[in-house]
Amino acid sequence: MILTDEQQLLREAAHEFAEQELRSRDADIMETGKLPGELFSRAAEIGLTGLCIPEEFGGTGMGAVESAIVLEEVAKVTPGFAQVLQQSLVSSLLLLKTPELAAELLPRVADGSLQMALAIEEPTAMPGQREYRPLFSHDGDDYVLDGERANVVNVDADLLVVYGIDAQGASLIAAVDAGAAGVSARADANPLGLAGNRGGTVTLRQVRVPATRVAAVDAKDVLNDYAACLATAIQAVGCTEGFFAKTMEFCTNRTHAGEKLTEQTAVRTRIADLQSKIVLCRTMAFSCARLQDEYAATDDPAIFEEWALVAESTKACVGELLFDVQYECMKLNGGMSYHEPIYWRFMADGVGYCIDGGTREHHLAAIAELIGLSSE
Amino acid sequence: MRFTEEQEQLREVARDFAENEMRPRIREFVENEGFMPRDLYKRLGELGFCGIMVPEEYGGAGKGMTELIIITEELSKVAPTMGLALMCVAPSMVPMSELPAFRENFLPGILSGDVVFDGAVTDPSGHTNIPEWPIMATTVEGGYLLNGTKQFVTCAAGVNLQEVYALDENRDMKRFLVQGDAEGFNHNAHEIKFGMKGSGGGTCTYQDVFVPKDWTIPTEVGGGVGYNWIWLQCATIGLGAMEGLFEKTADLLKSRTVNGVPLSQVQAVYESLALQYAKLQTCRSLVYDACEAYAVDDLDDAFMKSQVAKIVLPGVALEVTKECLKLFGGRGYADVETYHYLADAVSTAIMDLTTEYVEEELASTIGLRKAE
Repeated sequence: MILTDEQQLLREAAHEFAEQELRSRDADIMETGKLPGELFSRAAEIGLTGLCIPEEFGGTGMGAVESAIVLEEVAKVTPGFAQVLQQSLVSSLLLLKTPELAAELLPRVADGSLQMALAIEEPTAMPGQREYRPLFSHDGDDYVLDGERANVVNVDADLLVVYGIDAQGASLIAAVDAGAAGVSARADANPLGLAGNRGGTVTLRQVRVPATRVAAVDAKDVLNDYAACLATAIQAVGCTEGFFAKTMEFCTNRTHAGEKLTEQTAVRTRIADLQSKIVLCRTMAFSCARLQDEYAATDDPAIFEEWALVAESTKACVGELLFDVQYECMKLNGGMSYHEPIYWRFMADGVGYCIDGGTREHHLAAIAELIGLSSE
Repeated sequence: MRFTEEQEQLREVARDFAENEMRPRIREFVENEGFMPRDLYKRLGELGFCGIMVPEEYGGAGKGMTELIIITEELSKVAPTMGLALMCVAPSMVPMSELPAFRENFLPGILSGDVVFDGAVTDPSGHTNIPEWPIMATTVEGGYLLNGTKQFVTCAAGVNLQEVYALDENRDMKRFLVQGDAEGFNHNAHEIKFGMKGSGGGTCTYQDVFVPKDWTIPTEVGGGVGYNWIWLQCATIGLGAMEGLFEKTADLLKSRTVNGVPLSQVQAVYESLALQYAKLQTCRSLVYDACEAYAVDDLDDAFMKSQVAKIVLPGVALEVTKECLKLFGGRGYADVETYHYLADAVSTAIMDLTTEYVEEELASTIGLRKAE
């Protein structure tokens, strides 16, 4: 893939960040599930948190290709932290649709003093389903939020961008301070993978939020979030590249009966097969990023249509295709991969990418609708 | 396969134990980086599972592979780790019980579940990379001294008696019996594995560990069936893992609704789950088909099917557990009692030789590969 000089520099910066700031802390993150506090501000220092934030709000105003580059590099080392970064990138895009909130909050995201997290899902229902209960009620000029949000990434965030509906079914988002009365958050105690993503549940009990911090949104922007499709897919690519690199290292150093493992045709072919799948997924993800940027620049509905289809298809295919790659990597590394977290974590993380942001089936349903196979 | 009444009763016993005694304490397995609760391991002995295939005259139950597989399947539905612990002991006791010295000194404790037994094979240079294995055993007065390292030893943290595969000065492979408290033997493994928590698996080191001459076992003992019993058992652990998660998922379908419609009425959901059921039933048929071949001593057929099972089942188990886990969504990913089945299933593709190695073996078994 051909990158501009600027993009190349960004990749180098993200790579350096991952190698120097994450690599040495990664074992600790995996063991404790916690993120060292300084990581986010370090990322902010080199502009990673304000990537998608326009320059007028203190960011660097870059696009989807750039955020894909960063998420890929970070996910090669610590996929859980890539998820935390994604929260800021994706919720920035959502907030941009409400200029007042954007002006107030985004500069602080860009400079690293504010971490945001999206809180969308109910514990037992997805947005759009009938079981999804109203979260917002009106009380004078204020709103009162009452309910629970599950599968929230980065429950340690300072600010929660909470999505919900009111009794009339209208879609709203609220910017809620994590420290506000009635807000409590707890991280999942022992998740399978994505260590450091600080995933968990947020409980909102009669949380009062002024109307200035609530905005109406188009439910489609939250539900069919094509930017999130790309963000998850490219992290799955980075995570698998991380595993692939470790596998290459193992297979090229290991000998069997005095012969290098890679002397065996079957081993070489298998590794090549894995590489081909990674290239396929990565290419798909970056075409998706390019379409997203093209649409942002042109507002052309035809491009939007193509972007939507490519984004849904990318999310539908990449996670599970790469899950197969991770499984093959596990086998190539043998017992080592099962006993050493620095190997198996990539597969544990990979399972997360098959679930996070909706499963393959969820996205297949979206594709069916996009190509005119509506169920109504 | 049609089971005898006695076999059905045995299945009931294993299921009751798994559901009533293991299930309530599942977290002592799936959140445990060390070895499982010893009182539950001991129940394997008390229920007669450790000696299920050992001849009756030596204190066993004198049953066959079918019975061992029935037990393994039922235990693995709740905790695949328990199936694994049984795999370490039950098959190897058959040839070992033929050795008078072993029978007298060790067998009773193993069969009663008081003594945890396992085997240590993998050298850091590789499980099957025997040409590169270092010499680990040196001859001394009255026996041998063992020096070296073994990796990925299944019950390491809990072991009381271990069978170590090692080369002597003549590069002859021998098996050496080492007791858990032997001087110089370090097996305090607490490795953070992907799954199979509670097995206590990990690295063992040996520093001048003395093994009396009588405590060596010639390699030809038990050589006939080789890995085939283990491979079938390994596949069965994968089978149990998918059945265990399938049952949980079927319960989820009953309790959840989407847009007011029970999940069990959503076509895409029940069809997908039916497909997973079809896959696991196909696997189950294969496993018990192999058992039938063992039961009538048709070893060619039994070995071939054991190998096929070890090649095919792990991949299917992973697919089935993944599809089930996806139906739980983020909650399943955060819940160790749900996701452990997937992590456990992955081990069946790796332990006791990877799929690729067994493919080589199968190629020989069915005559596709010329012996070198």
